[in-house]
Amino acid sequence: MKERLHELKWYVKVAIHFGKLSLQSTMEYPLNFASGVCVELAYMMIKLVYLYVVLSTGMKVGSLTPDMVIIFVGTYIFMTGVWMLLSGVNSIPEQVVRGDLDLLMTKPGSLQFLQTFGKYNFALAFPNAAVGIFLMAGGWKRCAIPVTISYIGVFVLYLAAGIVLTYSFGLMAALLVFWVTSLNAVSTLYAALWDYNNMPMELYPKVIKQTGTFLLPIFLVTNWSGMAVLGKLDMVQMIWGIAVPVFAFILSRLMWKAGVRRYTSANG
Amino acid sequence: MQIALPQCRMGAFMEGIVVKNLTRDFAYYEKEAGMKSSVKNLFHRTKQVRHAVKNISFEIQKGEMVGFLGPNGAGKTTTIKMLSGILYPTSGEVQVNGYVPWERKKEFKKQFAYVAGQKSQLWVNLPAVDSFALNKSIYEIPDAQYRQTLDELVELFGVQEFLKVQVRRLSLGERMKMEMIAALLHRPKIILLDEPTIGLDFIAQNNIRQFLKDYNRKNGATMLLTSHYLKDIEELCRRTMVISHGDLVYDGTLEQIQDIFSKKRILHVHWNSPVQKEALFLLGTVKSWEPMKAALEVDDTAVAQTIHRLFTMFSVGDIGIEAAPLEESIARLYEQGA
Repeated sequence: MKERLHELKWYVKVAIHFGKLSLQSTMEYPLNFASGVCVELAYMMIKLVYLYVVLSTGMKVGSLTPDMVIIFVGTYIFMTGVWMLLSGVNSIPEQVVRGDLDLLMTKPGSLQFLQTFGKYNFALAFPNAAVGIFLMAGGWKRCAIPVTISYIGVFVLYLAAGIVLTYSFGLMAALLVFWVTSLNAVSTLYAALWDYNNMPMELYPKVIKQTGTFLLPIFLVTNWSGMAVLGKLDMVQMIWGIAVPVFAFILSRLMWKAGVRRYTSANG
Repeated sequence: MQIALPQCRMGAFMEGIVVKNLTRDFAYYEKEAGMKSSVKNLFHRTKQVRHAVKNISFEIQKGEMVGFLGPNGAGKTTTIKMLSGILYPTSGEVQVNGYVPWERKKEFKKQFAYVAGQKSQLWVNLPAVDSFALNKSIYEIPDAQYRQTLDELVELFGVQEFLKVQVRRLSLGERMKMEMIAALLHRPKIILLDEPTIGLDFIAQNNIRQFLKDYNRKNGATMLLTSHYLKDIEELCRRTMVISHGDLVYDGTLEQIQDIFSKKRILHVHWNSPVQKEALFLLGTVKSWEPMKAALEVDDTAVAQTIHRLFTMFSVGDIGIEAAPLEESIARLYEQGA
């Protein structure tokens, strides 16, 4: 037990150290940081246009009022920030092709941890996270959802489940590089699937809803936290929302191990 | 050539490196030139296997510095990567300080360092000292030990003034010294070096060599070093292993390679009066010539006879005998391995 605690402490400490160095690294080139923020803001404007249309027309999305939609769009933008933050995950294909995992492999600790939490992109993550949190809080208030520990707890729980899914799905998509050399098609497909969360899943026909919930459970990333606090999840969905991230994480871990065994380094 | 390989003791724990019947294959697909073969490959591809390392065995004792030579693609880097746990072998056994490298145990990783001239672990946008601090966290180096080791390494390399400079603004030599410091902060007992001096000027190469020598002397670290610069091996390693086309073709000293593979000697002759170049053609291969001196290459069996003829034919002031360059012997060894 003591050993486990020591190990956990080590992971937290090293992750914080990675975060600090990523931030310091970014601060060395403030102009790069600013341009990264600008690019993300431009993309975000496109996402916000959808929300503007919903709000200005008062259009309901399925059973969701425009105020409720704000929470979902906020969650989507926030999760996009999380995805952008994990540059260690997103850079795996490049690292593998260039043989850059070599030195990391010789470091103590889990290689998956060192690679996936080794670098963060704050420039791309910051605007998404900030606007996402602002929208989630704003939507929460306009929907008059009680600000109690239980509501916030449930919301944070499914938000955390969404973060685990973002990490696991992103990782699995990136890990395909161990089996195929070019990931252009996979990346484009994954980005397209991700954008399905631009709007709440209630917008889509039943077949897409079912597919995005059970077959390719991308809807769980951004819909479950909002649906949970709005009382729109039944018991099965609640369990599914916890089980899928656990399963996806385990799957990504297994895929990581299988992939690393295929690693041949650059001049292998 | 018959090479006596050490008997490996895989069962017993040994500080150092034990390699037994290590093999690594890589699969690839062949494609003929042209569209026709591209279309054909869509439906059927013939898998080929390249044997990068073939059934090699050796032992390196604790504190030994061993050179690992071989032409490009011979299997040096692949072997070192298997010893580091970066690559899994196809078959065979390895123990490094009692650990199986590819199991990648934390305790094992804390005992060794892998330094590759073409790989960097430093954060390029930050001064190297920030990367050192990160390694302190990763390797859990106590404060006092970190301070002491860092001071020692910085002094040995003379890089105090570069500690606060962004890594991307350092020269290749300065960067390599920083890489070395980063790799050695945790005081590894085993150091695997893959061409650490590649691309460096001779002063920087010299610094690195001197440093490795000092580190080995002070810490008794076991080192395996690959390099294309023979000088690295000559200066650092008493023992050299040569790998060619995946086979370990030699294990011994560099001098022995020269003895075994060089059947030529160079005679450096100074004359008392000018000698025409053409007059030397019958005596051996003229490697260099000036009116008052020349260098002749002759078979080692003909040395005495040639010297006698030189003294008979010319007024010789001075004469010296030298073995043919080591590079030539090594090249011959590579060819034999092919």
